[in-house]
Amino acid sequence: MIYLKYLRVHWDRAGAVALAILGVVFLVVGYLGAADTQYISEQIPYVISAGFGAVVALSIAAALWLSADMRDEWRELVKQGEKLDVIAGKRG
Amino acid sequence: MSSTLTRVQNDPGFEAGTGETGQARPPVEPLLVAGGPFQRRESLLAAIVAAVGLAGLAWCWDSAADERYWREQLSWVSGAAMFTVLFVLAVAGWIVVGMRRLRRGFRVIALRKNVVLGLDEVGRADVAEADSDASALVRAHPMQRVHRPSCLLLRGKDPVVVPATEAHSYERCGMCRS
Repeated sequence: MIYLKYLRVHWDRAGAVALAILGVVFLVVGYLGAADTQYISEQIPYVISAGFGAVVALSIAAALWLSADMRDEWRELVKQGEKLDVIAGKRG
Repeated sequence: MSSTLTRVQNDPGFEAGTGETGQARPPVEPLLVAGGPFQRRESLLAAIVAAVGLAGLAWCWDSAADERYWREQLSWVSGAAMFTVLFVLAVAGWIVVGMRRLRRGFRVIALRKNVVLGLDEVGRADVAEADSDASALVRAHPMQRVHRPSCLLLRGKDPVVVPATEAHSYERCGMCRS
């Protein structure tokens, strides 16, 4: 249950890991599919779908991870702002 | 965020050189909106551009799969590459906008800290005194030159007075001709 709670709280990092794994799966599937045929015309669709698909998945994974870190930093800034408001209110 | 920064800058407590100690600071609204550095409008725009990239990629893949000869598929590969680049640019742009807002948030909090904790007045007294003394020189970290206190290059920095015995170890500023 704690894992579900962790996934809910850190949904962005969990999504990033899942998409990174998906990207690697795309690459592997694309490689296997392209290696399975000797015709270039049959390999090119694998390059597009699996190769570029992996790039897309890994891009989203990187963006999700970065956005998670940025949201953590933002929360800290908001906390600092609130503390400063309290200090300013007390002095005022 | 720009409106938040404007609100901060318009706060009377931010006026440099008001110099009135003990002046009551009015309570301010929350400086940073909780939720994150990403605004809905920008996220939506990035999502739309990314969706266009994805749709284009899917279209190119479907069209390439319909072609029989690899020479005819090459143009679809190029198209797929371009749409992938569009997608990556959308995602990267979204991250960059968020990072800029985050950096602005750091500056807002730093400014606010200076005012609330009275740090903006530290060091200004001796610099103001140096300003009245034409021979006094100042510098700010990490500058390697000394300047007159009124030098434009010192704007936005925290200058400290350089003793006359140390001034010779620094270069002179060509802007203020120190």
